[in-house]
Amino acid sequence: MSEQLLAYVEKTSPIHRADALSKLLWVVIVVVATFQFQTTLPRVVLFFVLLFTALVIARVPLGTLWRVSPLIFGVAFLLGAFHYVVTKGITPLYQFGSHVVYREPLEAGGAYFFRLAIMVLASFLLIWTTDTYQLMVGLAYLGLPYRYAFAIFMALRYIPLIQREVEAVRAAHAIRGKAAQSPLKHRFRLWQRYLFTVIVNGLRKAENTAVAIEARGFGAYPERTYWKEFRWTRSGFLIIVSFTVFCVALIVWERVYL
Amino acid sequence: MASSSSAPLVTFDQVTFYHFERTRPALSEISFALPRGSLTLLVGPSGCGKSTLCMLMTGIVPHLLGGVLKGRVLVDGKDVSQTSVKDLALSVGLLFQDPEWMFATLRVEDEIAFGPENLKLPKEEIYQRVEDALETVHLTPFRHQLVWALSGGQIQKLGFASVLAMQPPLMILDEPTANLDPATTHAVHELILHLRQQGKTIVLVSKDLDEFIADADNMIYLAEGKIIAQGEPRQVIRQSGLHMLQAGVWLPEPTEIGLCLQEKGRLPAETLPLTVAEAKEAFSRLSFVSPKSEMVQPKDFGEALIEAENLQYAYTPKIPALRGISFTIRRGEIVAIIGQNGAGKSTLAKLLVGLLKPTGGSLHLFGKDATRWKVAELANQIALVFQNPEHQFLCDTVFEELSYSLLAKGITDPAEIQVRVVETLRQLDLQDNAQTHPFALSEGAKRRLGVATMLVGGGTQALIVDEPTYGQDRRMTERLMKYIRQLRQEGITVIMITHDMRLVEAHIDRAIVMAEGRILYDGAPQTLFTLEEVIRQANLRPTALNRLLTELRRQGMIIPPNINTVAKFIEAVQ
Amino acid sequence: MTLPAMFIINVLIVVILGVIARFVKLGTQEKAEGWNFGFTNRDLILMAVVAAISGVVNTGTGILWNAANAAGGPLAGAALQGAFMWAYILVFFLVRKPGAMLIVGVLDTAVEALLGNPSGIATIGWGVTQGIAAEVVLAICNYGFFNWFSLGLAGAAASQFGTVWTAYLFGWDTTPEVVSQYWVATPINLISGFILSGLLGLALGKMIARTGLVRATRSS
Repeated sequence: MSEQLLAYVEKTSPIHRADALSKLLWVVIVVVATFQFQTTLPRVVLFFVLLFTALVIARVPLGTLWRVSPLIFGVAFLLGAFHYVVTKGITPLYQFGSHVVYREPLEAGGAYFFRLAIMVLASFLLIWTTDTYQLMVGLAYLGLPYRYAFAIFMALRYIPLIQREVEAVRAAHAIRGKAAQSPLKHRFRLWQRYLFTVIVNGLRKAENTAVAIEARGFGAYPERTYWKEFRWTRSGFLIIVSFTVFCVALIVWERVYL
Repeated sequence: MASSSSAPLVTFDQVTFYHFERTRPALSEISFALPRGSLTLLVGPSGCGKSTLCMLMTGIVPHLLGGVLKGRVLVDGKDVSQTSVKDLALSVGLLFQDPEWMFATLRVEDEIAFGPENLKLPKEEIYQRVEDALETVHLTPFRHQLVWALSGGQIQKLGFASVLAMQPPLMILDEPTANLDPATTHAVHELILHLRQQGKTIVLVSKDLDEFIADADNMIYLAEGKIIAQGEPRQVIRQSGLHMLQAGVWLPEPTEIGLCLQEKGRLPAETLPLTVAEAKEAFSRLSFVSPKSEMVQPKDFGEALIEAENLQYAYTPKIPALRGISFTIRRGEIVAIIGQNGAGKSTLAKLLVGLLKPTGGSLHLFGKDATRWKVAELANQIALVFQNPEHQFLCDTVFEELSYSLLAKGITDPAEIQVRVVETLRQLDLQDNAQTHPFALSEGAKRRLGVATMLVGGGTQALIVDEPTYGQDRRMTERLMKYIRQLRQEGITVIMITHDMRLVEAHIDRAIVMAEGRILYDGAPQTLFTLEEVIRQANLRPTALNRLLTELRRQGMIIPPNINTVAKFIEAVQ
Repeated sequence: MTLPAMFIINVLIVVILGVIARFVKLGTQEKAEGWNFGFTNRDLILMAVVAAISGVVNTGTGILWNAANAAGGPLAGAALQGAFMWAYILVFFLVRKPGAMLIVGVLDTAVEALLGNPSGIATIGWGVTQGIAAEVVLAICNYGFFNWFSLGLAGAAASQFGTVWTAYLFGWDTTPEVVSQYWVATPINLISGFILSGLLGLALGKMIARTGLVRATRSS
């Protein structure tokens, strides 16, 4: 039973209070901005602003952040290293013995590292501070037909049920012993079987779910009401405006002064 | 409302129903009427058509799952064949057996609001309904909780609440207590009776009838798709009680005793007890001798196979699951491990088969420390059948499943495999299902196959079965127990994890009661039921038979101490 | 080579695969629903549950794949590239309607993003590109029929077209060496997708159908 590190935690920070759509929009703005930058420095600034937002404003515990940091930095680091290696160096910066560090690979490596790290951190921040129900209601408010919005929501809802099932099937298989076969063949058989078992059971139960929710009026009308209606919030508006202004300022600063 | 309050809420008129692409009818020529505000018990063996009947009232069949409907079903003045499921939803609420898969949202209160939202009710109305439903099922303190953080009993209550919020006059409850511990079952029963007092019409499918049988207005007894008897419960049982017992229907123990005594001419036909209180009166003039079969029961068991000393386990340092337990299990014993969900039973089972390793104390398995066993080697000594046996199946047919187990034990000669598998299939009554997909077997057969996959090939010294009677009717349970007793004859130790008090009372030598990671009681089941404190702490409830015996003894009757089944009770009656 | 050029070539590849699927009919032909977009509630719930399962499974594989691709470029993750789309094919086998694969793609990647894919919300980009490519192949077949070959090609197309998003996200257009590696990796992506997504997804679907337990697989 693993602790869920990536899950919404109820709190009362300004970020938590903001509506789900504004936060979604905010992540999109951040992601788009990271693609607009041409150099590393603005990305570094944006990254630390996000980190500040997460730790200080949204009050994400440092421990949580620390434990997901391999996810945030791991692939980003590898991607950075890859670009450092493949990018041709022209302008030498430093020299360590026979190894010359050029400006261009360093610039490219840093740029890709921070670009990915920003995207992942922003996504995680959205997950930590947003109730998925609100997100679904928001998407329906934007005009996504509610049956489709619910499909997203149901997929998320099934995750704990499926994780439990996967765990149970693994444990059950572990004590079945191994018929005389090559180890690889045995592994493949178990893997294929556990996928199969989880899917068959999932589908069977999903068919019951479909019947059950239909019996509760789901899909009866083209629209439905939401008892917790979507409302744009002032803090959401503030987040969007401040980040838009900030990102535009960074872009201008980069293009004009750097 | 379309109809006046005196007209029946539900009417079946000569209803015959064929499931999609089936040629044999699931229901044939069913006719009955249920008045408003009545409580109806729907009973019958597994596969008799109970679920089909429930689904017909909600329009799930034929509208969603297909099938052919002949005759007329009227619910709340609406003809089911002419009315859509969404319109029927205003009249009928159906609570499924496993409500966790009926939920569509993440939080308790959102789940209750889900139905009313779909019906486009105004917001204020939804708020009111959510409040009312939370209040009725006592879930108000948990309203913001995630649905997967709820206990089994709370999940059932949330199921009730989400149906209640639709405010249907008719509620259909399909086995609402199948997987709950006895005390929670009792709480759900009280909720059902409360709803009935509020004027709901209720149709209930359940094997725990003892708390309703006296209060119910109607009983419909179905077998093979036909109504065998219907009417006032006492009448129905008097008329076809023996038929029900033979068909595999669970009846309250006092009723079973009454029926058997009547058959033997020991009880007048007009006094059929339905409850413990009635049985106390009806049996007050009987006298008892010790049942003979008691004398041969073996009480000396073999050497210790499993020894735990201050055994501890914690998933993370903050979440201890076992807080230091000590016990010994010997060869040839049948032991039950009892306790609420979360008491540590499953953790213990996983420790015993080596899937988990102790984090404190000591655990000796078959003369070797648990930490020194490998899961694969230990699997040849001790076997675990999971609550859902499907999880263990690896092959496409029953035959292959058993031969896989033999191969895993190093038996590779095809001729020998053939012989052994055929022999096992015969033992399991599965001769005709050799080529069936294991997933497609009946619940009872699945469990027997689950046991057999672990035991075939021999060498196993102990067997753990998780919830052996879950979802099984009386006949299936008896078959499984027969098989388990046979195993004991072969010297295999059997450990059962269960909520089923009748099973505990009738079939085991020793009960280990757990609560919050500790052992509360370890000893004979008969003594267990006299310890009120343990019973209360572990959320248990004595069986009806046990309560009856206590009452009779309290009246000063002398009853031999070893009566633990209906059969022994009958045998003891002079 | 620039990113738009890579994009156009990939579109051509997908279309060619679709045309092949339409005219080279191998194996037994099964009927699909044609241009019927009417998803029932059951269809949607089935898609949701399959997407959730594949999201859980893919999150584990995804960490490996992300690391390989990020550190080693286009060739490093190519063999594994096709391992993510079996759910699309399985769902098409169950639902047989246009759009199902794209919806599952989006749902699956949304689940991955939530469970912690090391690419965050950008993960959904793969769901969109892969889903669209698979849809295009079967759209060229008019959603009228399918066989093991056409589903294999749909898997191959999804696998290859997903790399367009990878190229954009991971910057594979920046150096000529990496671009040439990208085209060397293309056949590997295609084969990987054909087998690990197309054939495996279909095999899973057939295994499920054989049990007779899932109503969606019954002939109706």
